[in-house]
Amino acid sequence: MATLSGRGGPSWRIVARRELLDIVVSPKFAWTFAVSATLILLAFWVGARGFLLEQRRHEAARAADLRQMRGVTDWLEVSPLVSLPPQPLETLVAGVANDIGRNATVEGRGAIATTGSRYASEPVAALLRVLDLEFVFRVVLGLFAVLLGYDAVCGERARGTLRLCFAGGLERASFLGGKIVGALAGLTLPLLVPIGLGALLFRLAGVPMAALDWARLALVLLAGLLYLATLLALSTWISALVRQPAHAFFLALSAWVLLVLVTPRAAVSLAAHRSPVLSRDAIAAERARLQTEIWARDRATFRDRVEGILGPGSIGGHDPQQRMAEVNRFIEEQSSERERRLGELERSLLERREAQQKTQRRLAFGLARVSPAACFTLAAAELAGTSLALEDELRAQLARYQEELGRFQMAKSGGRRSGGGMRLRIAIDDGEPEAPKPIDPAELPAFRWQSPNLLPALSRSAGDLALLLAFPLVFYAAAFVTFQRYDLR
Amino acid sequence: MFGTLVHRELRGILASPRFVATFAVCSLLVLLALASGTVQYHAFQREQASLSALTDQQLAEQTRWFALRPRALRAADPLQVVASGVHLDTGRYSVVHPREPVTLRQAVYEDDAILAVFRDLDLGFVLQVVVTLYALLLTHDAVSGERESGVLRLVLAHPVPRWKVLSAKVAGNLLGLGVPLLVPLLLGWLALLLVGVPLGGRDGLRFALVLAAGLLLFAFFVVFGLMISCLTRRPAISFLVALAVWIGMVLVLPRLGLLLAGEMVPVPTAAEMDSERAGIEREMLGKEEAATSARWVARRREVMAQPELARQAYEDEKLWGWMQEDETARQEALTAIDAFGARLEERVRNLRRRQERLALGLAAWTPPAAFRTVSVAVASTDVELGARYTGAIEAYREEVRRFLLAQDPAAGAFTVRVENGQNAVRRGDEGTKPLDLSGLPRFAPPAVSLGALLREALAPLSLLLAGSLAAFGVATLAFARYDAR
Repeated sequence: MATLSGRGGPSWRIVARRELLDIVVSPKFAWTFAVSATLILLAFWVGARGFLLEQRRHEAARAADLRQMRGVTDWLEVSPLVSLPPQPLETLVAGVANDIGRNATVEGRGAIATTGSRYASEPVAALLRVLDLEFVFRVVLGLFAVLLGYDAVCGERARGTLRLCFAGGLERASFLGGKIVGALAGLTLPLLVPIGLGALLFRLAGVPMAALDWARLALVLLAGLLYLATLLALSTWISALVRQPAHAFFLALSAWVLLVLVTPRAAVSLAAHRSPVLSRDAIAAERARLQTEIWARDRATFRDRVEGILGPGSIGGHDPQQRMAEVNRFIEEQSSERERRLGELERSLLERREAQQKTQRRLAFGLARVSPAACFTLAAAELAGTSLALEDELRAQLARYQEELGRFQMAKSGGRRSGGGMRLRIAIDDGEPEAPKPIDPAELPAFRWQSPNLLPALSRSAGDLALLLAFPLVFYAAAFVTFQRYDLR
Repeated sequence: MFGTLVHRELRGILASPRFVATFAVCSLLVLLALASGTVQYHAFQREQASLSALTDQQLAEQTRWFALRPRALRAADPLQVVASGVHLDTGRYSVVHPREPVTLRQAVYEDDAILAVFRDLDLGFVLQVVVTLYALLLTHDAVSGERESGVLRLVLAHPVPRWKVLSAKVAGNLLGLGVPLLVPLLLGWLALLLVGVPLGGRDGLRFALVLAAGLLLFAFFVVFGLMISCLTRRPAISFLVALAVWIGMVLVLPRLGLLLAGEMVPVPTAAEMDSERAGIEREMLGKEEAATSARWVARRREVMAQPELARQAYEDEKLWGWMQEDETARQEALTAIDAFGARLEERVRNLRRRQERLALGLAAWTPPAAFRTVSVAVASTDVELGARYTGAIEAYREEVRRFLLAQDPAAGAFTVRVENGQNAVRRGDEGTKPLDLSGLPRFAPPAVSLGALLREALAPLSLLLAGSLAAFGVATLAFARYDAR
């Protein structure tokens, strides 16, 4: 205890150093470190393997899609199957990356439906869930933080060392601060080793992490640090609330269960109940209703017009080419008009859905943010680019690609694009058939996924990061207030 | 004496603040889980009802047989409230297209990804994760704690065999902790019935089966906690060991099993399969079309070879035969494509089965996994859910196809053929009258018989029981030599 009376009174640093040393030599430490190091390394290993596997699959699917276009002679028959390529970080912070539809068959126009979420195609993964870095931090390390903090005050009291600490005129605030900082250092500093090894593993395995990805990962880890600080401050507060370590432990563990496992789920479930959202099915139903209505009319017009054009004595005389062009022009006009009206309806419904979704998200996440674990999950997913924003971004990029594809098809086939209409194939049996030239799939514009910028993600996660910064301070303050009246004996 | 010991245990448990807090938290969570499951169930039911109405409307509006596209919908099952399993990850319906593969679309999580952010809170989760943790928390120091406080020496001072002391502890803990757990569960059941979740009759039995499995899992963790307590001397160490085992069994092992299985048996994704199938389809249809074109060229020559005046008559005479020939060739190509698609699906399905079995096998030998196996199997939300529906919908698709063929054997696409600008041959029905759909087969969701469920649940249930007995055996052995000082 000689070190406690340093220059200008003992400071929190000494308490922190003592706490750190205490932790490092305890059997608890050896055990928790072994478990967390193993899990972290495993998360990186799983991530690297998973990413490379998904990448191979993605390439294979793309190549197969291009292959099946060989021999096609009409660009209008091409509806490429594009998909969201795997991202290195989504294996470390899964977010909703496995839940959203990742593939879409894109036509020149019309609604784009994304399908093929990983969990839908791999139900075992949905049932057993994946082991990612976010899970290790949120659940396992969170539990260890609670384990390290629950007896910070009452444990020292029970062992009789608490009074000794204050013999040298140490401030109570410094004591608590030192305890929390020391435990945080004891919990996280050793983890730098497995995290560093994991990062190395990523490099060696050849996972293409860009500089920006590393920055994102660093930010996720920073959020994790704040989250662990929160849980340590919370459990330190709990340890100052009660006198028996066993009771403190029980309380701290219950807090962990409620905050980490229950609150976020309950919040979303409540929000889903309180503010429902117009489903995609309902939108599809509305669209289908209007479509039937327009089709019924269009079909009648179509028959008359085509008969008029193809029938004897029609425009263009006996030149089939010219008549075909006439038919095509008419079809294009008709389907453009149809698409315009359907698009209008769909847009307005989608806008309504988006507004409802926004309300629902605000409510759900607002409620969930009572829990630091939810803040961490949301912030980590934002920073890693696997939050709900990923789905919006994918839709936006698919819509842009559809535009590009539509323009390409218009340029290639005389002002027509695929999708949303009927296609009329006219065979001209004019003696020797002139074989139409097959298309070159390489010309097709490719869907290139643009990784979204970090800045919007940062600004979206700023609220959660601020909360994660505020939580430890609030719990520290609460612990301080409680500790002021604590009987040291 | 045994009665007295049990009585003492019960008094100790019921009077402890730990127990009261646990009881409160667990009851709250059980009711919360059931409430959130109920909301989910009603929402799913509503969605499916509106989709079914839309389907009926679209079918009623259709005027051409070959364009008829019924949808086969998954049914809402009240057991989904208890164990959602892969229910929210599995597509809600498939369009029944006579030619295209059955694909379940629009899983709840795909449709509304916000629900997936923190996953679902169901009763299975509460029983598997929260209740087991509390069971360990309440029992891990039953022996080591009494040693530390010195009570153990007092108890053992009585002339009672040690195994009897331990049995009394087990019985006391099971009764004292298990019966209070039953209260919110049974209350929740009653509440579910009152809010219109039909959990009576056959589904009531299934619900009871899940509850029984949950209680067995709970019993295992109670005995397991006692066993750890007998194997360690200090409560703090007891707890570390208990927690390590809990983290391993509940949180880590299942995920690890998945990982290993994925490494050992790779399965092609849906996208890869679609591409492969589409490629073959295009190739075969392309061949068939080329053959048809060649035939028409030959026929044209044949016609031209006739004397000028007989040409029209010759063509009129032959035309029907030619068209039938074309149709036969086309049907042959389509059959070949279907056969290829079926083979491909079969291959992938087998691979996936193997992977799933391996993953579940690697993860399933722990009691929490055994509980999950029972609960999702009984709730029909196991990994086979998608496959079961896909199979049933494929059978339904066959029925629909046969029905459609019976309606219009020549069902083809709307085609216009311009031949030298002289005449247009048109085929395909373009009726404007609504179809008579009374004969259209209806889709019946696949049902698993109660007997089959019981058979499936038997192995995991016995694993749970055997686990408890084994833990009890180890505890008895350890306690016989336990140093009470």
